[in-house]
Amino acid sequence: MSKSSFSLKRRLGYFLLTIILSLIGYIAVIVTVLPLVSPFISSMGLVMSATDSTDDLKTGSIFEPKVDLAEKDTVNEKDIVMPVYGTHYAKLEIPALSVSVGLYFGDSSQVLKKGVGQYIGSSLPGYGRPILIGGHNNGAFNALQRVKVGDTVAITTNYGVYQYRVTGTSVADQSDKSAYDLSQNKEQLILYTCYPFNTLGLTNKRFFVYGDKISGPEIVTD
Amino acid sequence: MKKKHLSQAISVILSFFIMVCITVIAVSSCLAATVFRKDFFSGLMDDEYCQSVMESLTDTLKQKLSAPSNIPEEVFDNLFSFYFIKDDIKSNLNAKLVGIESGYNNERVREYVAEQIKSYAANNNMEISEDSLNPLVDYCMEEYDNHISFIFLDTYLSFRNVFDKAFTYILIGFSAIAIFLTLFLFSIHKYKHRAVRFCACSLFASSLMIVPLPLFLLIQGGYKNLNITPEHVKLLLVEVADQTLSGLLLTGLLAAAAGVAATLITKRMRERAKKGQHNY
Repeated sequence: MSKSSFSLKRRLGYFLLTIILSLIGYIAVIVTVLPLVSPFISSMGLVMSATDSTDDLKTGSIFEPKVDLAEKDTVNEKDIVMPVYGTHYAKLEIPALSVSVGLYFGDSSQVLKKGVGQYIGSSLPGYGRPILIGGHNNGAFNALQRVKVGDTVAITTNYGVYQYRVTGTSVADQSDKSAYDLSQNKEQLILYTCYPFNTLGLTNKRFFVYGDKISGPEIVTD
Repeated sequence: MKKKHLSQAISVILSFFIMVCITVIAVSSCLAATVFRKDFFSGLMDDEYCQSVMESLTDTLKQKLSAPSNIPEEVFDNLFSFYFIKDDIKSNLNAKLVGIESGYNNERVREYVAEQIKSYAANNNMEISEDSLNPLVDYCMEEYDNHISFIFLDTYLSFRNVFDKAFTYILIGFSAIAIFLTLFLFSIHKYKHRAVRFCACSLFASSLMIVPLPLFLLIQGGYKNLNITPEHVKLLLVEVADQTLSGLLLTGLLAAAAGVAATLITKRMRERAKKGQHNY
């Protein structure tokens, strides 16, 4: 064997020794440390994302009112496209106050930036149960300060037009559950917004407007 | 021949353990010099960080309060004093480092915020009452407290305390083991350059263990996609990761450099051994 090939072989040997030592080291680390850190590694997926996180809830719209929304007494539930959280599903109008605003299913701050939002623990129009709708007092619901008993509120959905007559108003603390009753067997419309109007600061009070149903199809099931 | 093979085998085993010792010493020294350094966080919480805290605080209040209430966004511009924020961040950090829960006086900030809001209301002919002002100031102060504090600080401090206690023992213990193993390695080789060569292999292997992961993370940058709010906390954590990974990479490269030096020494010693000058 020549001197140079022997030297090359020796150098290769030590190079391989370096690789083998590091590989054995990696195996030792994986065997001993991985069981300890694997729960941490798996939970990293909760705080890592491929893209920047945003709070952007995609609020789509299913609102496509039919031109010939005839006066029907009933509408079958299976013919209704049910909204999901954040969906624009109706239009709310108060002609006396020149209010016309999109009605969304859900009442997150993102939804309330776009229109007024229905509390998802209340019913859709037509189910004969209370409907609780909130909005900002510096937006569409600023006009509620001028509402009077007898004014009408119209909610137009894909499956029918519902009319409500204002029966009264009240001011209550935001945590006062006696201000409204969602368990009653009556289709009462309850609109609410922050109170007082047109002042600077945070308020714990809410202004409520109550309305009884005048007309609109009842939702029935087979 | 058998004795030679036995000597080689023992040398490989010793090299492995020397590599382990070098790796442990290098990594722990790097951590002691970077993330677990006493003034590490106070160095990161500079003017730029304080400015990002102020911006994050303002944006948070605008998002959380402006739309839901009848409060124009302009109210929250210049609501807080940069000086107060900088002072309180440092006071809070220093307090936490010595185990005190909170180290700043938020009354002066509260008064300042209340005055700013009243001033805005007066300048814009808006009504304001104590009943509506106090909840607003309370909410602003709650967000202020959240932004001044660094939520991961308690976790970091617990890790650092453990590390501080263990570091000295790690350093002394593994250094002693490494020295012992090296002396043993030298004792089993007639020609000492062979022992130095095995030490060089250990240094290179240690470098191979330390360098790849930090290098991969620094290039890939996956740790920059932390899904954490507020933004200034995310930026601070990314900076911590940056500095720590860079430190580890540098440590690995230093180990490689030491390996190169050992290789050159080996060459020199071998030449001398060949010339018959020494048993090198």
